[in-house]
Amino acid sequence: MDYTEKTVSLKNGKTCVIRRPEAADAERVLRYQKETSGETPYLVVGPEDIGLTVEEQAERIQRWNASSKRLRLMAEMDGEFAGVAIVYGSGVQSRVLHRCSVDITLYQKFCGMGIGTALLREILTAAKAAGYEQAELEVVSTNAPAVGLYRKLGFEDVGTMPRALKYQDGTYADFLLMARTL
Amino acid sequence: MIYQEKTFSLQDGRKVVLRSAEERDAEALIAYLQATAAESRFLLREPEEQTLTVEDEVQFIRRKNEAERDLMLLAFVEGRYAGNCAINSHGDKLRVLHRCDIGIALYQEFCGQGLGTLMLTELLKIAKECGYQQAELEVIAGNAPAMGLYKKLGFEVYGTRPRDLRYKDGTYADAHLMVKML
Repeated sequence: MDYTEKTVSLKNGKTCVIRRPEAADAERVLRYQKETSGETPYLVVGPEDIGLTVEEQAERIQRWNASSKRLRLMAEMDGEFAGVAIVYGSGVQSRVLHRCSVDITLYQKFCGMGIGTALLREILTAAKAAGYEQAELEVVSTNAPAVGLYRKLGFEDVGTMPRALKYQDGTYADFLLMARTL
Repeated sequence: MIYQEKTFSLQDGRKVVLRSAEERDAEALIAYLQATAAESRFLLREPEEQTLTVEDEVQFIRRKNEAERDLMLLAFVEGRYAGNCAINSHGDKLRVLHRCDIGIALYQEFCGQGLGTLMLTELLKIAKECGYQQAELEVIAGNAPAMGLYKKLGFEVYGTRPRDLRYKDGTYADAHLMVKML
C-alpha cells in the first residue's frame, strides 16, 4: 500500500515522523523486533523467535511495500526508531476480503507519548482507503495501556481466548480479541 | 504426521476407516472441496474459488504428512470417501506451541450419523498425545449441527467475531470462536 511520509505533532511538543520502512531500514527493523520482543511479555514472538537475516528482512520490507493489501509503517522521533504498525488482510478468499488485522509495537521508552495513537490512526485510515471494512486485533488482556489505546480508537471486545501465550516459566497469558468497523 | 490406519464402527454398524491422506487421494479431495463448498454456506470459500490443481493438492498432502505437528485425517464409510478433519499447528513460535486449530467438513449425505463425533474424538486424542494443551476452532453462527457437535465434545464459546464472512449478496455471517482444553 502507498503511504506518504507524515510529520505528526505529539502532546509533549515534539514531533514524530511516520513512514514506510525501506530496504535500507532492514537492520534497524530487525534490531527493533529483537529488542521489543525482549522488553515485553506481550508479544507472540519471543526474542528467540526472530531468526530472519538482514537480507530476508529487506526482501520482506520490499514485498510489503509492493503489496496493495498490506502496509507496514514505522515512527521515528528525533531520528530514533520508536515503533511499528502493520495491517494485513485476513485471507485471500472473497468472503474475508473485507477484514484485516492490525498490530502495533513501540519501544518502551516511547510509550505514553501519543506515538501509538498516531501510528494506529494512520494505519486505520490507510486500511479503510484500501477497501477494508473491519479491523481486528489480539492483545494480551493484562496489557492495560494497549487495551486503553484500542478502546480509545473504537475497538470493541470480541472475546477472550484463554491461555493464548505460554511462557517458558509455565505461566500463561490470555488474549483479548477486539474489532472495529472502519 | 502420518496416522496409522484404524477401523471403527458407526452406531448403525457401518465400517469407518480413518487414515492419513495419500497422494492418490488428491483428485477425490479436490472433488470434495468443490462439492462441500457448493453444499454449505458455512465454509470459507465460494465454490468457484476451489481452483486447486491435482499437483497443488499433492504438494499439500505431502506437506501435511511431513509436518510433525499437523495431521489430515480422511474418513471412508464402507469404502466411500465421506470427509476429513485436520489438526493445524500455530507455527513454531515457542509461546504458541501448546495450541492447535482443528477443522472438519463432511459431505452432507454423511452428516447426522455420528461420523463427525467419531472423527473428532479420535482427532482430539491424537492432538493431546502430540503434546497440544488446547484445541481451537471457529464455527459460523447458524451452523447448529456443527455447534452441537463441538459443545458435545467439550468445546466452549469464548467469543463471537462479527461479520466474519461476507457473501456475494452483501450479507454477513458472524463466527463463534471455541476452545477446549485437552
